[in-house]
Amino acid sequence: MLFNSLLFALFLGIVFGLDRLTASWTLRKVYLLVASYLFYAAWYPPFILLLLLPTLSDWFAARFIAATTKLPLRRAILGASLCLNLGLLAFFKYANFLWDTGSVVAQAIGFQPQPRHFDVLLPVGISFYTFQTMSYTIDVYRRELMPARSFLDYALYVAFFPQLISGPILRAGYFLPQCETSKRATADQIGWGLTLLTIGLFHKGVVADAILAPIADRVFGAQVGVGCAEAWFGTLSFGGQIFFDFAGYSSCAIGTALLLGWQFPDNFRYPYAALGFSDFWRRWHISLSSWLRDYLYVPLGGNRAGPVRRSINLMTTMLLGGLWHGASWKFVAWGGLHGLFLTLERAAQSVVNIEGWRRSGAGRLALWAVTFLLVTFTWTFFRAPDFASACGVIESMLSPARSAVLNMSALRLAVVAAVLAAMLILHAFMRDRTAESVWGRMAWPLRSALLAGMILSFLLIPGDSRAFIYFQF
Amino acid sequence: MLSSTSSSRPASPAGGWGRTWCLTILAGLAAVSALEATARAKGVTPSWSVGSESWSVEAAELGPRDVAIIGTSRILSGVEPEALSRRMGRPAHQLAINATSMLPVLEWLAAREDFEGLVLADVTPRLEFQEGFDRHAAAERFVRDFRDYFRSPARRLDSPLSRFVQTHLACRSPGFALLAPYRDRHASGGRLDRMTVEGTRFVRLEFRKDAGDPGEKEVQPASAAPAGPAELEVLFTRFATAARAIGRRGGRVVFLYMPVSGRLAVAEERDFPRVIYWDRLVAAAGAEAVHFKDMPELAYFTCPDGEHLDGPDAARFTEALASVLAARR
Repeated sequence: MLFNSLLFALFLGIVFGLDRLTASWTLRKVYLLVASYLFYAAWYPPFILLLLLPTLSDWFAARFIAATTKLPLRRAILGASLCLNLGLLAFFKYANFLWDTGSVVAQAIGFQPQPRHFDVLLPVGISFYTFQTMSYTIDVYRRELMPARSFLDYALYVAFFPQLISGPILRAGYFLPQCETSKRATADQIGWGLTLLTIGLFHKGVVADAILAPIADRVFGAQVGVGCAEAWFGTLSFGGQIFFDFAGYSSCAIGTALLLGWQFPDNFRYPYAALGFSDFWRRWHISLSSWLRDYLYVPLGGNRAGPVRRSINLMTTMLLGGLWHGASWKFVAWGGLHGLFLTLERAAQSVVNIEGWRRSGAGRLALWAVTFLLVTFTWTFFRAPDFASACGVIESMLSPARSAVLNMSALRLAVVAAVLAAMLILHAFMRDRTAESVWGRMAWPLRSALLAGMILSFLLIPGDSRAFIYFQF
Repeated sequence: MLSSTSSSRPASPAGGWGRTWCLTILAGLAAVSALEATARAKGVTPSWSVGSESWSVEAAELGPRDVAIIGTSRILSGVEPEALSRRMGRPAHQLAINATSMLPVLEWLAAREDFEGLVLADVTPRLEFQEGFDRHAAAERFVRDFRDYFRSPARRLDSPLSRFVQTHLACRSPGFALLAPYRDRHASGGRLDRMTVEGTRFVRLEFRKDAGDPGEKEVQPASAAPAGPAELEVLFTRFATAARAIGRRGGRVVFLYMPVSGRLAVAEERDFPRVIYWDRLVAAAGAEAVHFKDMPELAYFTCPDGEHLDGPDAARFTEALASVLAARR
């Protein structure tokens, strides 16, 4: 069920109505859990079993871990839980990738493996809910969290429908305390929740799908070598598309939860205003980057074992973070480039006063430009269908003499340029502000005008809805 | 204590949300009403889209012995499924897709073990025989979407809802949309007066009567070179394999060259000569073929924009085509 579908509007209306009409807090949580499972089953009913499996296994694993003081036993249970979660991911998401990669390695050492293709359907949201259940068990193992007292609360933490498919990846320590006391959305939360939902739908349906995606699709779908300007337009368009698509989804998720009285953390904080790569990752897909930091980078040793080990840890984290996005070496390359940029940034900090640069206008501009250009450059690997296409687009980007071949309309390109410029200006303006503070100071007729404009343009976009890009992850 | 959690949210902006949303809803309703009135005043009829949603619905209804109409906008606006059904005595389903090769759809039909019906396949040379396989991408997406539609209750439940809205709001209809593919075409040169997508996915085009001689229209240059010999052989083999698979099950594949006229017809023959592309495809596939120029009943149709039939002509063309197919049998 897509957030940008009429069916979801109907579903949310029913869930919201039941939630408002029911007095018992426990019964309301039961409604939400049932609604969440229906929401998930609506994609493909057998997938419910896949959602249930890590839910049940990590529920019991966490309880056993909390109940015992024997370290080897606690480790064994944690290991089994991680194996199950990662095994599910490996099978459903990486089976073909692992087989193909293994085959290449086997061929290199003289074996002749049979070519195979596993016809496995990727269950939506599996990368997100397995990360949530793993973080719960690890937190209990680390004694940073007590296991949930109520299975209902824990099951709702895993399956709560606004975040189930594409995050934000919630931590049990953030969500479970919200289950303990009865609450209803206030008028302000409902008003703001609807606003976030509207902003999210506008970002996704109008900006990402209708304006930016067609240009990115043309450029990355072209079989001929595109022109230099076209390659830049296509890559910049995709950079905008993926932001508006995923940040739009996150806004919808946060707004939907807020309508029901639940708080979700921020997942994006105007990332294209980032001054450096560590700043970028504090602003882009925050729930994933903080997950990778806390459950991968820090356990690997983090910053604690000297600069060489820190660089290795950073690269490992970002390579695996890239692989999380998709079963392809091009995602690994994307993650690897970000790892490299983060490593270089850390190395530069020891010889250049980057904090000083952040305080001067020219320094901030230089840091922003380098960050934005390099982040844009890495999107080629993320969007291109394969390595050869990515290299072709990069080659075109670096060949100013290469002329246009795609015959794209000047009006459409002008609209895209205006949207991208507006995005950058908005991110720069909002860099140190919050949406809540800006909308809170806005006069209500202006709020209405903005919201009506967004709703109207969303309604007038023709054609079929595209699925959110992050659903495939 | 957690090692880390994501940051918490600031409090929701306070005050004024009731009046904000009341005014938003009123303003939205007023704007939609104004747009709807404008669309209706322009004669736009509320209609469905020709995107993957409606394609999936039609594909799901395709029975083993039905007629599948596949191809591009030429046949989408040139063959009426209802009229064809009446003449052929079995249901016909419009499965053509705008601006994309029909080969992935033909291969999908060939892979359907139960399908033994009639396939009417419009061959648009610049979409079937251009260099590179990117022209297959849209059709492949439709086929993938169909699989998703087939197993997803959400997709099947959402489809009638979105169809209901689109077929009751003219301002949500593709005929009014600024981004509708037909209105974007240089070849139409603004001659298109009205476009209605009927419930069967037939696209009824109505051109202005003062459209003039099609020979005077602007013709778009080919955006990519024709496929080279090696790629052509691959394509012919794929067409032949799919057509034979359907034929072996008792089905029938008819390749169809829809009418083209004016400069576009001249340019098409120059870029994709019949003897190199059409004739070789027919010979390689060993399937039936209907080229409009070879049939006196079909040869006299002209297209106001060079490649799409006007609505009333589409009805006459469908009748004539049905007669040709019946005579062949």
